[in-house]
Amino acid sequence: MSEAAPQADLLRTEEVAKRYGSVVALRSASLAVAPGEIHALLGANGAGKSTLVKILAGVVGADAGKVAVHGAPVELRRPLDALGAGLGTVFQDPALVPDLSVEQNFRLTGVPAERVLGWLARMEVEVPDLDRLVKHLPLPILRLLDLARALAHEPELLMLDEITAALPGDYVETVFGVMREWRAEGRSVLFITHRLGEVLEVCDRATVLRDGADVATLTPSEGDEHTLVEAMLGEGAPTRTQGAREPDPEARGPVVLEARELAARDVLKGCSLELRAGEILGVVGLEGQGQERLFDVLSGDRPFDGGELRVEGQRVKPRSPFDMIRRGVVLVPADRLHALLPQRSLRENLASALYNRVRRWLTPVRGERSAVAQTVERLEIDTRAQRQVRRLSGGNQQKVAVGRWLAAGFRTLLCFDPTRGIDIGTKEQLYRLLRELADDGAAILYYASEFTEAPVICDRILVVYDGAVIAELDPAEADEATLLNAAHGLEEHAT
Amino acid sequence: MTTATDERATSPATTPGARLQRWLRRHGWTIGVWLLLLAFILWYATLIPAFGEFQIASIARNSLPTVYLALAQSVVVIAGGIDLGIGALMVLANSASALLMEDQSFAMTLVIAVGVVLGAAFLNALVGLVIAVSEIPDVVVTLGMLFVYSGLALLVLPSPGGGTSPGLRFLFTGSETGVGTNYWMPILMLALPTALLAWWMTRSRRGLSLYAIGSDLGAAYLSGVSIRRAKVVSYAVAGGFAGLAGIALTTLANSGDPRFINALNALLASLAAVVLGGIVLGGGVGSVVGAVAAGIILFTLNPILTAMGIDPNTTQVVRGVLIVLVMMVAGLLEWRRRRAE
Amino acid sequence: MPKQKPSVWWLLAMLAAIAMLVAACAEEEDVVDDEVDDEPVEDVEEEDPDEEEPEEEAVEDVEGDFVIGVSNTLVGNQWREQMVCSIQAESLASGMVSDVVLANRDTDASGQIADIEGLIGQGVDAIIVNPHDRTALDDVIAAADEQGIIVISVDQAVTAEQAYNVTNDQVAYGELGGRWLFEQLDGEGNVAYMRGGDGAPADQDRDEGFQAALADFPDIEIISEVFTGWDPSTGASQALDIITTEDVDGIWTSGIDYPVVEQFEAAGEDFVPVVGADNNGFIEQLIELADDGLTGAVVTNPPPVGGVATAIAIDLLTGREDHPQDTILTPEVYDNIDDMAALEDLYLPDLPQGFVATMEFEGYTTYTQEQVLECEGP
Repeated sequence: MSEAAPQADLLRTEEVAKRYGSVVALRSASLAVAPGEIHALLGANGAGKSTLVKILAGVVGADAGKVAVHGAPVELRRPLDALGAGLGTVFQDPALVPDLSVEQNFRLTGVPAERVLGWLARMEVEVPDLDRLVKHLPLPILRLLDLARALAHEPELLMLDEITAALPGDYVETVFGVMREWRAEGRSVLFITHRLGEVLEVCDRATVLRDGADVATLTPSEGDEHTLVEAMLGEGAPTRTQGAREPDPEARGPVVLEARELAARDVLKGCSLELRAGEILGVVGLEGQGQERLFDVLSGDRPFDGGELRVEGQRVKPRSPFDMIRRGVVLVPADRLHALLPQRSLRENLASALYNRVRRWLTPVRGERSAVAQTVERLEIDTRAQRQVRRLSGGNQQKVAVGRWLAAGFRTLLCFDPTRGIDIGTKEQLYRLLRELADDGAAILYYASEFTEAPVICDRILVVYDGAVIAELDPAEADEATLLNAAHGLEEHAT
Repeated sequence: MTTATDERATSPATTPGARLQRWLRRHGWTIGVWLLLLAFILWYATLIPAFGEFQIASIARNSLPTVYLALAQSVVVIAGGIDLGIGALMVLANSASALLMEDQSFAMTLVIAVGVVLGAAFLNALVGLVIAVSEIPDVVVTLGMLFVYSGLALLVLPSPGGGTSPGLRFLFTGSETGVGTNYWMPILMLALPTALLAWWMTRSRRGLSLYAIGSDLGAAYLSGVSIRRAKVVSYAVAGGFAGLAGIALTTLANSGDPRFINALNALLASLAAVVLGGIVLGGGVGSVVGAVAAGIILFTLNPILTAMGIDPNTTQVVRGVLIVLVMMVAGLLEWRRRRAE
Repeated sequence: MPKQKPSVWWLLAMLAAIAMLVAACAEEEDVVDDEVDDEPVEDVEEEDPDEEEPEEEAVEDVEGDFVIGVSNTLVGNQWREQMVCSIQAESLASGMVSDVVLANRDTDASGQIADIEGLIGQGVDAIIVNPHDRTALDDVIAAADEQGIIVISVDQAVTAEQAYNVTNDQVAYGELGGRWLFEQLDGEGNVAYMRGGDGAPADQDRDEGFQAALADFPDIEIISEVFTGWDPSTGASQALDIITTEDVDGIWTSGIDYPVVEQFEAAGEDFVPVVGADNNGFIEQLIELADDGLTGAVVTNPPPVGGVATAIAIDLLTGREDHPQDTILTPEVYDNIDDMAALEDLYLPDLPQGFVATMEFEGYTTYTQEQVLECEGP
């Protein structure tokens, strides 16, 4: 099947490119899917997989490149164009309107309910009550509804973007069954997943994207997972492992933040970790493995419904971020402007965290100015644009986000991908700052979406997979390949 | 994995009892508002010496403008917008229809009525188009329209006046003089447009697209909804209902009144009715049927408070307290539900 | 989802509770009102409609058990407040009225129709209405008449033939004031014409009278015509514009008078003759600023039309005396040249500027000034 002649390709894209502002999401992606095959689309975080799917689904327009179906070029301006061309998509995020019932959602898209229900029946999924509101249904059911709805359009090419990420194992098998059935009918599937085991199990061919361009098309059955990982990393990818410092258990302080089997609906499935004073604890994971929710839960932004959370040994059940801030645990989010007051001055932003300590209202915070001045100095913030924080560079903004907690004397920082979109130089400064803080006894939990980062600055690295911490690595041994293997759930190579 | 299995086990509860309970729960607010209305009317009945057809007819016909305007606002709010110009559009429709309909035959007034409704729908569709294309927030554009429509109303009809035909008055109020005991006609005029709108909103593809864009723009887009078109449609439908409200006003008073204060009062009443009726500001949630009951409640408060001999300044306080209380109860319920899950 | 809670029933229970709360809240506020207003203890007892009424009847008069409804569509306006108070006071003073039901809110013609329908439902014996519109109430007044309810329109006349009208003669108001001003100017000069609410019947009537007076004085020029909307702050800013930018010899106002005089003082300009209404503040200015060169005339527009209407309603209900369909009260003109004594007589030093000084109407009203100020019904 994989031998199909190129002109008989069901779908062919040539040098498709897309940029969002100054960020290049897709440089040049070429892809060919033959009729009657299950084709995997692979790549590390940010390689451009989802962007390519969105372009093929008509959700975003490509800046350059060609798309052809059965050899005929197609214009994909709207989702309807894609459907018309025979491309059906199940997106990473549910495409069902939450406030409408299931039946109304079918009606909205003009898909006959019987056909969707027919597909659900074929998948042997118990049909939910059609009168129920979508927002009251569990996530796995929604994913299958999305799938059934896409199938009801009878697309030539079915594109599944991370559909298995939110599915329990038996449903994953159901989805595989559908994919194989689709192939048996001579139609094709484009399958995106982070679970390489799945690729080996069902895919005929795989195209690997790296940094927004296609780098290889492989036949998974001829290799193993590590061949795929190698392709994703590139030939001879540098394996930087400059262990941050000698692991020195003596230097580590007491446990300040402890999670035991934390669970939150469908996303976290029993996550445990111990964060000690004086250490930087790294977290790595592929997209959508629950790390975002983990940070949300730890910072008190979202509730958890299983397990327990302890701060300095005390059990807590935070209702809002304030509950955690009061206990000294603060979040430094990836979206800096989300956390700052963009239109206020540097000084006000740095001082804003101090207000949490104000006992009596209306009395000025003592020493505000000196605390701020010290922080600015320590952070090496370029103060030329200090009138409005939004005018600072991304890196300096992130330093402000860290610094304001620092100025107020908070000791436990949860940094979620703080270096996203920051230049190398500022990154180094931020690393140094965090290291200094840790040496001063602060406890830092650090998630980075780029796998190269964690080994550089962390004392220990936890790997998150499918809503749980599955491994702990020593940064000295954690080169990128090891991390990627571990992050893909390939346990034999972890440790 | 275990959690997923558990959820699967509970989801297909399709016994009649469970379905009824779910239906009640889903429409709890709407049912609650209607029961509250029933309670208010029963309460009113005990406050005055004789309660009968005359009072029912009076409540039904005098609620018409508020109810139509509540329906208009509901449509926009469900689609994720808010229309601050809706009251002024009603006043414009009232002024224009009163001017045009004076001394005309029934057939002619009927034609004018249809024309005014379509005209108002068209005007407001343009507003929706401006919002959809320019992406200026709804509040800003419609706030501007509040003044534009009000100004147009004063241009059309500089001071109160005009009239309409007895036939059209009968159509809306059940009486050629606007006063009487025939309550079937106004109740029909309440129920019919409500039923049509409710059916259209929840059954037709286009109506559902309004809920969709109010609920989740991304999901709506991925479901193939044209966001701009849905926005324009929501404003057009609202405009049509504002036109209907203006005509109802003309038939009630047999005259038009272009003053700005009427536009403001009507706007605030429509917003209050929408909130009280269980439609979430922000979009996607709620039923136009609830807004109807809320509109009637807001009207019924007047005779009730008069009958109780309450100081008129207190009336406003009671109205505000009622809205806030209902919202607090709703918030409490939502909180309980969240905790239960 | 551990267990399904029957939250629907909970919601219903809460809604019922709200209904009760609103009721309780409303009653509570009623009580508070009484507490604030009462001075003598007997007053409070008298006001309790349920218990004390029979006793009062027995003492007073068996006939006196009428209920009077009031419909007013403009609240927060001093003149209207005093009109309503004069109805309350006359009802109390007459001893023939058991209750006054107020439908008092800011609304339009259709709202007033609804309010009157509500009053009909209350079973009132007479309705005193300050009409929002001359013609719009015709049908609802006819409906009230069919129920045997006497309808009296005050302040402005309505076209309904069943209604009695008790009005100040607004045509005469415009004409008398205009004539006084033009004579003051010896029939020559520039006059600013500061009207009331655009489109209001009273304003149109006053304009008719004003134009009639103007026709007799061809050398008077109207250099500025504005609508104050009977709003003091609007009138004040318009007056300041006129005073500082126009060469004005006299100003006619539709009742927004004392703010106009204040603008002369603010701008430091010499006074010109001003025509106004019987507002306490204006009377005070006419008395105190006479030596500084202010001349002016008060044209009365007494709010006790409400009291007069009440008296007429009671006469008609008891059959004591018949009244013509229209009672037109002619305004008086007092200037601070010849009628200083009358002005000093009208002036109420303890009351605010906006208070209308004419509080009684001889031959009709029977209450005391204190009863109007207390504004307490039976």
